[in-house]
Amino acid sequence: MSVFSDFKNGLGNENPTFRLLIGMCPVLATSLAVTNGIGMGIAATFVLVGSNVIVSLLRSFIPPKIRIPCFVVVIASFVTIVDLVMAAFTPGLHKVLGIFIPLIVVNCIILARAEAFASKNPVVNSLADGLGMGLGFTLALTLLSAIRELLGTGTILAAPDFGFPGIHIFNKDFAPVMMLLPPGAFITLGLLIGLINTLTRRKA
Amino acid sequence: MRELLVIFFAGVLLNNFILSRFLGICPFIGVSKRIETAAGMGMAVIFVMAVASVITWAVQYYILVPLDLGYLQTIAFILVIAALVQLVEMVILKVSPTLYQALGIYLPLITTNCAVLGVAIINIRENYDIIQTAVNGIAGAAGFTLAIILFAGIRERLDFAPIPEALKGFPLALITAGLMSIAFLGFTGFKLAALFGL
Amino acid sequence: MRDVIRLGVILLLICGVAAAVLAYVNDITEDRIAAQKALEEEHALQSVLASAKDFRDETGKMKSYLTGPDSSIVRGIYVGYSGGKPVGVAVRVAPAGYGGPIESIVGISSDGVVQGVTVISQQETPGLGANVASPDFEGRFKGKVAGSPVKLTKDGGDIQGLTGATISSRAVAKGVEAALRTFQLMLSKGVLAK
Repeated sequence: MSVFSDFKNGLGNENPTFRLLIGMCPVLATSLAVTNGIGMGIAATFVLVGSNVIVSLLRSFIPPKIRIPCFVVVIASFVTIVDLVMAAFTPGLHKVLGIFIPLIVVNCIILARAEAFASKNPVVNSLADGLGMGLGFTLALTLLSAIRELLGTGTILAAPDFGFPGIHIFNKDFAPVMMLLPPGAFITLGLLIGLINTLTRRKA
Repeated sequence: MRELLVIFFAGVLLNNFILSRFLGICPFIGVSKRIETAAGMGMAVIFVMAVASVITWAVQYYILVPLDLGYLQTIAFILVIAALVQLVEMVILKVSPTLYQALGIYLPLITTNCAVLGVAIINIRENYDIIQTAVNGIAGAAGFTLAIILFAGIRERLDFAPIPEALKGFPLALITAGLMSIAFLGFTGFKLAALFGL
Repeated sequence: MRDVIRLGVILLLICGVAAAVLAYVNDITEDRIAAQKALEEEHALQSVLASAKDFRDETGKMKSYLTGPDSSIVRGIYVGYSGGKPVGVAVRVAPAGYGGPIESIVGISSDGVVQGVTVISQQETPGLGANVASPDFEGRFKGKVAGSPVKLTKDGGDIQGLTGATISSRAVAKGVEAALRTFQLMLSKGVLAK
């Protein structure tokens, strides 16, 4: 397979959120606002690309018996780097994403890609795969956040961290708070996946 | 004592790990097709989460803090949890093969259950002491078990319902979880503190 | 057996490299994180006690005097000075809300009147409890005095709680009360001269 198709894979056919259905916790939890979604997406993408590259580089060095603990150490290191860098440079976003930054460690997407792809493929392909999966994850997260933010607050793209109030679409008083509460996350994502299922089935 | 009760009930009902904190969604949806398996998973999670809470607390305050290695928290916790799960698996196999048969297949899955790492980190962030940590660990896991068993019960019945093709499986599971989450929001009105006279 | 040792050595090697990399990253970000925190804290302290020009951290001196639930709610105690004279205190409190601790700072002038409250971090329900961080709600505690209870109208007090967010509102009130108690304690222990 070409490098480009490895990259494209994560965006469409094997989109981790919509198609592989893994790594749901951060998707549900951090999709309150588009800026949060994108922030989480970038953090996870960085970890994915980093761990995929290192795992691929070390693939002949790591004995199969202890590969899982080795992968976990590599992933946890990248997560800690992201955690520290975000705390230093984007403290507001770091606070909002809170516990879900360290929890990137247990995001199954990352371990799954390390195990299923990076440990069997050359570095360049693994990098492309990590980038594609990361962007696919970010895309899904952004889509869900956009729906929840718009319907839940009547405003979109609010970024208090950067002093941007967001684009006001309709009056906040008409916005169902439910969209921002946990049920809103579950139900919106469920319907979204259902919708994508319908669309892809029609195409096929 | 009252404070511990509040932590417990808040963990099970108000801040339910799955339905309001979004921790442990993967096993929640993956292992909830039958009530029996859901209950087995729940028991395994309660055990691991209680032990992991206490051990990670000790690692934090007896190793990481004195050595000023706070930044290694994530990596240390995940390794401790992974090792713990392995150890629990071996001990159960030696001590009680029957229990192993019941819980064995769920144990490896727990390492990647974000609820376990989640509770460990929450315990530290909330500044809990060791007793509160243990209670919070058990409460979080009990909340997980409650939610997954109820959810499995609903899903068993959904098998017989006519469902739109596109929603079958995962999407419908998410929507069901959403409806359960609405029901659990009802506990918000619970005056826990007043109930226990705090 | 040799195999086990080899595996152990490899795992140890990877852990060692990881720890070294992290130590390096921690080293370069540590000062910046601390600076960000200090800046944020300074900013928050100033916003609740505008009359003070600079603050001195007295947490260490006071911590042992705190008793009961206050010892876990109160997280930091600062005396505000202006021109070398103490003008009030700022107390950092973290009462338990609905989704976790609601970290806030309460500014109290030296005559025991609440000057301002600001919520610096919270994990309450968005759209409901999270509104405790709004200036409107924070403003409702202004003018409360030490020695009298700080309670919601629901609990027989005079503070209007947020609709649908009683637990979060009550938690903030509890925090303010703890701060006022701490203020009185500081007077009695002579940490703050009247």
